[in-house]
Amino acid sequence: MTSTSHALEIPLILTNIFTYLSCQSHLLSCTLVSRNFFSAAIPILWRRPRIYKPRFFSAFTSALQPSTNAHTLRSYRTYVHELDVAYLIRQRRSDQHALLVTCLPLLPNLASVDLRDCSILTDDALAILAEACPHLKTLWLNINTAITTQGAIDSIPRFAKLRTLHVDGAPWCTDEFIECIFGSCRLLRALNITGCRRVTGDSLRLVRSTQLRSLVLRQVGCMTREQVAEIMACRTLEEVELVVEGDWDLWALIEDPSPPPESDAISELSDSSLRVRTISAVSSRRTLRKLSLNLAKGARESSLVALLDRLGSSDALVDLNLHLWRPSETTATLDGIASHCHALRRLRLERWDGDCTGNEALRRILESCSKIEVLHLCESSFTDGGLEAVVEVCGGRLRELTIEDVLVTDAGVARVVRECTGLRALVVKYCQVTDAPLRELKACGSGMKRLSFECESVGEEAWRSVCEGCPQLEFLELWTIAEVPKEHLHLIAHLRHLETLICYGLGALPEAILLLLARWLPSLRDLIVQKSTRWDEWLGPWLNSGEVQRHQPTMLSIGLQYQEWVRREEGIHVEFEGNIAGGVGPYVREEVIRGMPLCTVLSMYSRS
Amino acid sequence: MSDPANITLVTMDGTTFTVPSAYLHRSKLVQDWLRSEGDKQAMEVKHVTPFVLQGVLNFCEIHAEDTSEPLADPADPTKPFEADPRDDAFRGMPDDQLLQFTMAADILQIPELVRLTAQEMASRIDGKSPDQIRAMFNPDDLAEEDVDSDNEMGEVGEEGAISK
Repeated sequence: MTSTSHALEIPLILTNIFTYLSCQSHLLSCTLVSRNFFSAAIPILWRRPRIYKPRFFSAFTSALQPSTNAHTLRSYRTYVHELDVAYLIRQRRSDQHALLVTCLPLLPNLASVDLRDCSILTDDALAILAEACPHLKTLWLNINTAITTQGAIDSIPRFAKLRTLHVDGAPWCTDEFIECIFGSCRLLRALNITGCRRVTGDSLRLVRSTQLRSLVLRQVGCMTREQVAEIMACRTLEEVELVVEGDWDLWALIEDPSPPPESDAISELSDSSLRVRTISAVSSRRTLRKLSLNLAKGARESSLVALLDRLGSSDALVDLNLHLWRPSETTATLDGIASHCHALRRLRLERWDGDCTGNEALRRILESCSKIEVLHLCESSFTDGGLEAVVEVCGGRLRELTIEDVLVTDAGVARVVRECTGLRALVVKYCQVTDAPLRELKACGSGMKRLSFECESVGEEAWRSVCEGCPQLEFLELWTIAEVPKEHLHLIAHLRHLETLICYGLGALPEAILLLLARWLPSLRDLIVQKSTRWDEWLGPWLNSGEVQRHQPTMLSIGLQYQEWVRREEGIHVEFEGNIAGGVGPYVREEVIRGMPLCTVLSMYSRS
Repeated sequence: MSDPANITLVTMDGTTFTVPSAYLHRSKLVQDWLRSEGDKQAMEVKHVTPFVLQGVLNFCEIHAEDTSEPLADPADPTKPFEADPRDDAFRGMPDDQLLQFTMAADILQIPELVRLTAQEMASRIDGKSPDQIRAMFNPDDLAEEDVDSDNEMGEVGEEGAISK
């Protein structure tokens, strides 16, 4: 026996390799190679099934039935640990309700399930889930409107092993519910209640007595300063996102909550006396690794700097996200980061609006925080000088860079592309740049995986550079490819790993480009384009005419989405259509889904 | 009693390698051996050829002074994999050699090397058909019954296809 074949006999080696396969069709190929490959690949294949097609959901459910399992040695239902049916249930087909209720109880080892925006999830279905899946650790219940507060209170505490709960935008999430889960889900470590306005500081103050590590509080109900201080006194908190309303200021984040400070008196205290008062509280916040703050209008820079001093001094803080309140900033905030937060790895600065000294202040941050790998600069008054600092100080170590609504030029961005050779993700949006920086990609042999670039047009050279220079790309967002010569469009076939393609402007390209993109890109999952008005005339009738070949990759319209960039275009009337061309019937929809093994989402919208 | 600052490894054919113990601080197998049987002269590493062990030791030497936290689980999804230019030697390696390195990393329990080699091997498998994968791993080494069992596998594989 050779060493190679000996290696193939060791299941753990194959398991290690298969764990890194990027999609399920590749895993499926591995199951067909040999018995050893089959044995190693099948549990991974079934570990996280992604079911997008309604007819496959019923097949999947029937394969899980005990009667089916009687004919095989393998108990597939025990392999399933994560179930991703969110895409399917968002189609709001009434016949999925029974399947969901039937399917979930058949999965005893289910540890994670995504039930976001699931209109068929009722109190009864949730109760069944709680009964059948005792090992559930992660649960997404965002935007579910069919559940009641009482139903959630009755069911969710029964998930004794629950560690992560997302209930963003859930109208049934109230103070009563929060108090209930804090009291019963003792293993809960992460909670996201973004947009739950009915949750206030009255219940959230109980965070102090929990073991939470991650807490996201954005757009929740009002909190007082004392309540914020109580939340921050939780000794286990590592990640906090705060966008809350109420009468409190930054001192609440670092003060000792007991005894409650007098808000009038606190502003009169000198910095040194505050330092003495907060020293005991600081010791309890040494674990804070991530802090995301949306500063209110009244937030003072001096308070922010003092806060950074307290939290940054422990060297635990590695991720800082500051959404500042413009336009009153000086470089004091930036210098505060440079002076106190030496351990930072990720920094996001949004709405920093100061004078031209900001570039030098940014340089000081990058020099002082020598571990920064991820940098976001959004809606801020940095210029090319800031980008120069980025290139010169941390060009080699930077992994992600986002530049949004910043006054930079082609030359500045091009230098970043050329010299930051370690970049894995680059986002350039709302800046006045052309496609010139893209042309640098080919020469520098980029290992980039995510690229999002907004410019007026992408020419042939830039297109070629992106396609041939970034073979590892997994995510590509370009505003338009209307200027790319048709004979060069096929160059995108170089991007063998591309999973998401977003392109808002296809110009006069015929709808056949969608078919070609699906063929050229073997790993494509999400294709999001702006629908040409020209296609309205005959696209729907053509799809319904029966002339679409059975296995021809083609298009579908599911999950029309608001795009973030559209929302930001104020004053533009946006029309969204419920169905592509208004005429795609369910038969055609299922046929085209079947024809596209990987490409599962094509969102289209009109913009007038 | 062997020198505690160095460790001697013996491959399947008796070739010995003596390297500083500090190089192998990420190898759980070596660390366990040092704790329990460190007084012995040499540690046997069966199923590993001299060429492969040399490559593994080179990897360990290159990364000996890395300050990153030891990787508990090679497949930990919270620790994103980032290619390191110092490991480029593994990217140009023939498939069978790479597989042997994966095995050696697994035997020596070096999670960082397991992840590197497994990731590279997975990227080579990505997008290939079953026949192409068989060709990668030298079809002569696959048992006849394995090759003949395609149809049976196909049936079960289709069952797996519902999860796409």
